[in-house]
Amino acid sequence: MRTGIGWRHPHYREVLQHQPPVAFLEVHSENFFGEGGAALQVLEQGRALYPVSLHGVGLSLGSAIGIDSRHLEQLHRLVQRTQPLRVSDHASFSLGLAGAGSAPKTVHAADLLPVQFSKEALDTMAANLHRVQDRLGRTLAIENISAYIGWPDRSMDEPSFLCALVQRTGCSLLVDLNNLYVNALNQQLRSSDTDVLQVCRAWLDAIPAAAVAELHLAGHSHGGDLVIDDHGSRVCEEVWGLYQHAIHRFGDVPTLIEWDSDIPSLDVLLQEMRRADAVPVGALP
Amino acid sequence: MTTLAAQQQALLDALFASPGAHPVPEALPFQCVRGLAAYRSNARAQACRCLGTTFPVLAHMLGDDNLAGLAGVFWLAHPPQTGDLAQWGGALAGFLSELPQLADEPWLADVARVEWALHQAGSAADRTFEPESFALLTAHPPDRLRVVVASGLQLIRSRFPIVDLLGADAGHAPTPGETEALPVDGGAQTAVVWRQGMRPRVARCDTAASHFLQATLDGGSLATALDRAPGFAFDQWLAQAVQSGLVLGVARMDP
Repeated sequence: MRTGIGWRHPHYREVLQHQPPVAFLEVHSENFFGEGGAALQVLEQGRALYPVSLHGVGLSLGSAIGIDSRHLEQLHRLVQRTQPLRVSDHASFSLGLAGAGSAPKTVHAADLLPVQFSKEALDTMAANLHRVQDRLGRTLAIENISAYIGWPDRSMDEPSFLCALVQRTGCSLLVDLNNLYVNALNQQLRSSDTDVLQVCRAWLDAIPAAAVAELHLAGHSHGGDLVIDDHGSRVCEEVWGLYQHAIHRFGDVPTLIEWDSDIPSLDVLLQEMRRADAVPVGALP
Repeated sequence: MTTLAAQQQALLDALFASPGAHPVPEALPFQCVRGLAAYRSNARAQACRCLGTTFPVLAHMLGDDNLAGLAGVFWLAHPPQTGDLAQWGGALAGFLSELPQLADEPWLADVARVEWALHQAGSAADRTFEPESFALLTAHPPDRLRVVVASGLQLIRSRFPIVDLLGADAGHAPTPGETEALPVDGGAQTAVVWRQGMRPRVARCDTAASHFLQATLDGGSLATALDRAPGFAFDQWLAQAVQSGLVLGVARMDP
């Protein structure tokens, strides 16, 4: 069994009561940043039953103004308390300055915004990641994002950027297959001759297997002129195909079923999880 | 400013620009309009979800459409500053009190104030009940003791019957129709917010008890707190306060 599930509020009680067989529970770190209370109590109960993976959405590792020290301390406290299986966040930025004039203020976009794949962005993210890993005393797994805008004049492609980040910081990669697919679909909307699956496979083939610590599977939605990574539906067949390719390339890598909006019954998540677990290592379509 | 910093500020400027003023700065890719709309749409949805979770009674009183509108303007006026969205919303009460559109419903700001206190109580540091500590009351004078109160305890004074408005006594929030029928000019109330075990609670607090609790929150000794609340029936109140989890024990004052 390699597959875990995103453990969200609607399933807290059911998972604790019925204890379904899952490889691990993944939670969003920021939901447990409080000093005490019911959320942490639930996490403690979950941790007693399953390995827990802490997945962050707010570190803003690509931020040009650096890491929020308070956020880092809250994460450190949670890591100390939880002793998680993995700690992960995204290759993105959220925190920065906004506002015209001489007194811009610090804002957090609460979204995963793309960074340019440039040397300057790589230097920044590597420095921020070093600071986080030094404080936590462990390495992170860094996830590729869905990007709805792309910066011009990229000096490297995304796999090269992520591989360089791995080399410089010792981090691992969390490869989100749905994000890859969404980005390729949006590329196809801009350029109709894009071969979506070929783009995704080439991306995966550019990543060394040893760098991959986890795979993510999720659903997306079509908004006409843009495909949105909303984690609100089943994994589509094309992404399942990419998953077979990824397992063939990377081996028996821990995998997560993510579902964050329109959350279905736990049974549906477990069905998706069992389907992932059934994909044999080495199999190709 | 570096290229990266300029790019990031340009994108954040565009995302937090006022409606109708959505600029596409030169630093952004020119084919980004649809993408920016997606990020803005996601932000509006997050803001609405977040306010609805943190301020359920206020959301109920406003209704879905008004809540969505409020969430959008509040997000732009007071953007999140940290990656923990649970910390976003503390400025809402002040924001509501200054909104001309809500001048006829001034109690809504106090509803938000109490709900924010409840939200904070929900994640306040855990404290344990120390029943043996009450023996100190017979062993030491009141000026050497202090009362230990529950996690997240706050007092919110309102010129409106705020606890009634929150539906705390009836155990449910009033519907919009019931809100209109409530005597909003029916007298000031002080709400006490605390956590009983893991459950945030709110109740009405009378004048003497609020003076006593405020002195305790300010770090005063039991003697000081009693002095601040003349006529306060401490023994009778203490039994109820212990039963409701509002008081967790007694401790010696630090020397």
